Amino acid sequence: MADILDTFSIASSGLAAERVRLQSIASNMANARTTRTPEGGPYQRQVPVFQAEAIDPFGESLDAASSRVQVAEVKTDDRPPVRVYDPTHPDAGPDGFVAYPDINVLQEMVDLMTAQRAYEANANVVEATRDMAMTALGIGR
Amino acid sequence: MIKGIGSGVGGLEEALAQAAKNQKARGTEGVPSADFGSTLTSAVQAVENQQAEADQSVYRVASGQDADLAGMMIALEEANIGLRAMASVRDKVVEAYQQIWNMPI
Repeated sequence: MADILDTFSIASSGLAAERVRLQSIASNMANARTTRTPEGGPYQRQVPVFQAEAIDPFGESLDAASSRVQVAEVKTDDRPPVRVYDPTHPDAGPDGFVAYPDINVLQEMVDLMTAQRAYEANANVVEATRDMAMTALGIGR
Repeated sequence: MIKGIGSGVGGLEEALAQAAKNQKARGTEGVPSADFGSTLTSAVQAVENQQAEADQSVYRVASGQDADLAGMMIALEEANIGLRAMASVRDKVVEAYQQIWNMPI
């Protein structure tokens, strides 16, 4: 049965997933020029991977087909670092090149806008669900 | 958390279904299997659980244990819908009661 609260929980999982994406983007933007990490080497771009999770795999047809979204993992983008010649930089190698993360701030900005719009979309689903429930409660009043 | 609230409203629905069944049982056998009072009590209890869940999530956000603002708002919204559903049922019951009360004899 299509439960209003299931719809809420699906939209809520979308909101949570977009928040994780936002956090990855924030991290990528902040570390666009970071040359040091605890693991050594320059910062590596973080990419969240989303995965569908059926709300009730053994339920009736609609419940088995509807899925929440969950963050399966946050992968590191294994693009090679950008090498810039700057012998005065403290982290420059013996050849004078500094390894910077290959992060395109424009791409991150576009990802940020996408995450923002997706968040809005999920919030609109919550609002529509709420309005439908209120309409149902108004029947016969 | 949301699943918990879900089962809360599920409880309300179940209670209402039970009420309908009781009504039927009364019609056929003339003996109620469970009184309306206990049905109503369990429905109110379900709504109260929702309120408690919403309260908890507000507390968690306010105290910084959790930053799930959207989750908090959704829990509040679910509690709101549950309360309104209960109020609607109450209105119907009161209306029916008054109709009987005002019946000219």
